[in-house]
Amino acid sequence: MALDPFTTQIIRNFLFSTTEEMIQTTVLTAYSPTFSEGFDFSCALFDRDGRMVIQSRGIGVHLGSLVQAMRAVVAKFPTPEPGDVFITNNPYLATHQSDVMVCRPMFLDGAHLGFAVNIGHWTDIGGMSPGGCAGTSTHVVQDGLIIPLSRLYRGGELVEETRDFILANVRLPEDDWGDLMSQISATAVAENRLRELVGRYGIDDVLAGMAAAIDYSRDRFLARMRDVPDGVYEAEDFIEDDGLTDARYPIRVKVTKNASHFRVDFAGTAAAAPTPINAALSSARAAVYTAIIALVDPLTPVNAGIFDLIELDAPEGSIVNALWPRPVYGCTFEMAKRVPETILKAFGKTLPAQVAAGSHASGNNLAGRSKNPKTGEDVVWYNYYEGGQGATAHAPGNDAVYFWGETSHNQPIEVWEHKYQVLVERYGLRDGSGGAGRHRGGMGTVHEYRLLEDHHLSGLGDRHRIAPWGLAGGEDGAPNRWSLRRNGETRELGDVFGLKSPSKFYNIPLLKGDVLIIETGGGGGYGRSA
Amino acid sequence: MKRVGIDIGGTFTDIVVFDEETGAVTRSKTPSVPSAPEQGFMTALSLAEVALDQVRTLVHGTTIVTNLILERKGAKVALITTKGFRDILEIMRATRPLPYDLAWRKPQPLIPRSLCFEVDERLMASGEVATPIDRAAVEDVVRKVLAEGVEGIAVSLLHSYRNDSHERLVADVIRSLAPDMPLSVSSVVCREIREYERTNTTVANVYAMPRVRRYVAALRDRVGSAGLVNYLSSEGGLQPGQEASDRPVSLCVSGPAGGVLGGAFVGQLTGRKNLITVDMGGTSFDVAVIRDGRFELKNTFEIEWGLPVKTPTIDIKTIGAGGGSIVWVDEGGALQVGPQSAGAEPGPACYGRGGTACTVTDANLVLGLIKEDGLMPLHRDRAEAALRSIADRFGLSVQDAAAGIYRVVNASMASAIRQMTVEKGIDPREFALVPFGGAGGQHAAVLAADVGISEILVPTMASVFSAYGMVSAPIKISRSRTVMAALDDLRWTDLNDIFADLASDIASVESGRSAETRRFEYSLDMKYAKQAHEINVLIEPDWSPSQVVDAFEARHFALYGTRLGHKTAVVTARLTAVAALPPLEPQSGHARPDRKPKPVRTTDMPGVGSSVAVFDRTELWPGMHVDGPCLVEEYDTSFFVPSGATGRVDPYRNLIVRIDGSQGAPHGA
Repeated sequence: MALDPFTTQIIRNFLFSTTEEMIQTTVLTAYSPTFSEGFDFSCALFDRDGRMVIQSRGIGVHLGSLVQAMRAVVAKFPTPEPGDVFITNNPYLATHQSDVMVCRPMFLDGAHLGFAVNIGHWTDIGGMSPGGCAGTSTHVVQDGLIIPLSRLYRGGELVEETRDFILANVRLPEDDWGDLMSQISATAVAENRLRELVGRYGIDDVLAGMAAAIDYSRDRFLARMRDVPDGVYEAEDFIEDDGLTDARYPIRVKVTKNASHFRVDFAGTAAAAPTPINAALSSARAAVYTAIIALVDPLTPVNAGIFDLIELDAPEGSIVNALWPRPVYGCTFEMAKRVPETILKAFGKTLPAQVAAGSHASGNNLAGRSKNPKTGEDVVWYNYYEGGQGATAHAPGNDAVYFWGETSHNQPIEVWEHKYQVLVERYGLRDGSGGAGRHRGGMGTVHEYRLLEDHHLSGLGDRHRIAPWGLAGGEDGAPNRWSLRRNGETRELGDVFGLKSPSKFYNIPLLKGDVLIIETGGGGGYGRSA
Repeated sequence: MKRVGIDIGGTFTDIVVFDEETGAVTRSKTPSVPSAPEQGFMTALSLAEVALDQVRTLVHGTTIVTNLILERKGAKVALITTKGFRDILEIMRATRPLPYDLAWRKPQPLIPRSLCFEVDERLMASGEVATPIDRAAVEDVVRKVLAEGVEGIAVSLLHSYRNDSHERLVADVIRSLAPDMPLSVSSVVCREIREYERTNTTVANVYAMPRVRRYVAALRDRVGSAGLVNYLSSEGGLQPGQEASDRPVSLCVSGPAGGVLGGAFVGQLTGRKNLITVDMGGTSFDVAVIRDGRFELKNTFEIEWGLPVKTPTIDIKTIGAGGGSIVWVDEGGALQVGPQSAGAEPGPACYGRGGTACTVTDANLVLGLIKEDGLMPLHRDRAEAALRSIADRFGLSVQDAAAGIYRVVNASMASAIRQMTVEKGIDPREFALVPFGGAGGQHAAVLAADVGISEILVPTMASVFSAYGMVSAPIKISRSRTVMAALDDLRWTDLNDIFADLASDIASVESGRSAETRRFEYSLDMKYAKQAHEINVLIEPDWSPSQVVDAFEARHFALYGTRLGHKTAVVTARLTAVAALPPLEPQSGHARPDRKPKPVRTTDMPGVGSSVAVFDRTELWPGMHVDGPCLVEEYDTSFFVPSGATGRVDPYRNLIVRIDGSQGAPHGA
């Protein structure tokens, strides 16, 4: 039955408002600053077949990865029951192990309405490195506990074995449980809202409205695709090293665009690395979606209607389709940025006005472990950093933003200092980091942490050797850089510790009184300077 | 004695005069003078023929602060902050509103980078001094700042919510070098953790201060009295001119707060404690909830995206849906309403002032919800022409398109009401809906049915309702301070000391009057110790820790449905002093229960009927009834009573409409 256009619109607006409420519920009840200050989680609603209907603001790589994860849910649990909640962090189904997905099938009076999903980054998921980000792990199990797709609740009852198994394998069981409860609450809120909606319109109209939301996005996206000329677009970029050697890993994209499809072919892309700079196909797919959406229309509500228009071909075993046991921890903050930038770079050769110059394009992810001297408790932290955005034909790049398919927030320094044995001596824009041009690239930032206790530090970043590229004659931005000031002398971390890589390492010992300096890259400039 | 409310909005300046002895209420409207609001203020006073020596208090609501910030027309001011942190305003929280947008640009901070200065000092999160502050060095910085010719200075140092000694020293230096310089100090304006939000609040405060000072002084001079004019704060209290001058940031929601107060006031008069106010004007729709006689407050308000100010504010949800909201069809073929608005100029197509875009008002006119010959003559043919562009896209008649628009905008408004109620654990069915603003009455009945409300209170004075509400405002001064301690570690005597400090701080604010007795409201922002976000819990000063925890857990359960039983922490202590003015009792109208009201005419309402009765509100007297479907018109607004519903005029000439969920909306689709 076809719905009238107004009911369709009303139902879609209601569903979006539901995802916003899921976000609020999570933020306001979560335990970790990663969730509640940083917004490092995402929410979405799916139909009964596991097709995305609507997504919240959030993290593009989370959301796009759910495409594959939800296929797995539907395949494994073909007849879900009211009160079930599923959980997984299988990195080959979604993103990396730190991102835990909670999925609730929604029911009213025994009728299955669809699924509510929350996926978010837990501060600790076990593994060799507290807080994750071990830049030199060489097996996926070193990156953390893997929770196979499991039932966490069965018919409304907590499956205690599942919970206990998870919490026995993480360093911060209480914090992780608090965050998990916030995720579960969010999905419960969504189920209640869907029930209200069905109460108002009836189940047939609501299901038709969900299908119409997907059709709507497809039609709108197809209309906007006319602004991108049909053709073949190619480019190459690199992951600059793997943490063990200086080997570069090329990423090659060939994008074929016609009136109804984008096809992204990764032929010629490097084989997977031994270390966690890889992406599994699930998150590589998400990264591709991010780029195409940014190119075509960032305002179309993202769902299966758009995903269906984008195909990808990634050689099995390559760095964008890594298989067990290759570690993929960096997929959410390195490949999730490198792949989209490479695709935009391809379009930038002939359509520079429709894209942007390169950005800092790395999460600059760092994780640390220390002790609270008063309580003796372990302190585990994890953070990722804002940087410069590339300039466009129309304007300079933004200074200091989280960029590439995300709406993360940085964490207030005052909150940060309350929790983690550091004193931030500097938190500011990194002058000169934005590439010059007719429009300047955005500036990166500088964070200087004076350590109040000894810390052990792990890092997983990139774009420390290869600068963010300028566009249409604009100059490159400054690359990311991590250094240490010890006894008045400042040197790059790699030099201080004799590391193979400036940006990928595990568990290096920093001393009380050291100053850790995190400089994030600037965006490339656009056009020649006058 | 008389009490006067003056509300200066973008288009009109409204004045309401309340005679305390007779209960007589009079009102007037005059066009606003955006370039010189003082003038509009005085014009309104003379129009209302108020003798100033007969006025007990004059309450003023103003959008001056919001406009200064939105239009970036505030003063040239500087920021002094901790060494290493001068870019705090540029970085913001590093977030973006949309994940995939390449073209989006960050908002412009209120202070350019070149006017942000650092002093070498540092406090730790514990409040201990890491780097002491040096007075001579501060003097050097302040001299540099003054050399820039600034008109105001904001001071915001790291962790000053914990220890304000460094900020006090900087303030002292500024006062000694530039005694009259407008000054805003973070530990005074917003003593709360989170450096960006606190700094931006402090900056916004001083950014508006020079203009607000001049404005307050001008009004004081014109009315010839220091204590007469009071300002309505965002938290719905009146504050003396001095407080408004020192804390302009507390005026951000000054105008809309009046409407919520009006709702609380009519609720009090008519014995209703649970009300939802909805204000639908030309560009926006505002929802607020009054529960148990109190409106909900929140502590952060975003003037625009990314520019938060932390100041107690009535919790008002605003969406961009008003009578002037433009209706359009997007690339995916979906009907969208707003957020762009045709505004007052050119206005909806039916205004006949050159606007051609279809608006909500155009749809309402075609549906027969508004009359064509009201406050201004409306052009039905132009409304139909504008609607046709929408109708053609869907292959519908103009009528059906209008009905569709009406449904879509109603659904958005109902969703806003649900966000303020159901989503916060409040059952709207126990509430009465209070609609006002030019377009509120055309939608209220449908909204009520949608969210399950069965009673609508259409207030008298609906068109000047904010000014009306201002008259009833109590005097209210609030102060807060970060505590940041686990409840188990908190010594109750320390908490009492904090409340005593806050009380003495409040006492130092000159109230302008003396007779009132003050009542204090105590509250704590609390959270489970490991959570990051807190919720506000009202407490009594003599409560034990376990009573406080119980109240917190009950609130957490109401809001989020969970009671975790984990350890709790207190983040902020808040104290509000409230002093009510003598109660007001408006004149009752002459009861005419024996007379049946006569319709002034009938009108066609598609989907409802071809000859729907239309009543003139000025002829509806206490005790009278009207039966739906009908329209009740005032000279500048109208109210739709759906079929099956009954309206009754109460002693204050409010129209009380009872409906149930089954009544139909005026749509033919």
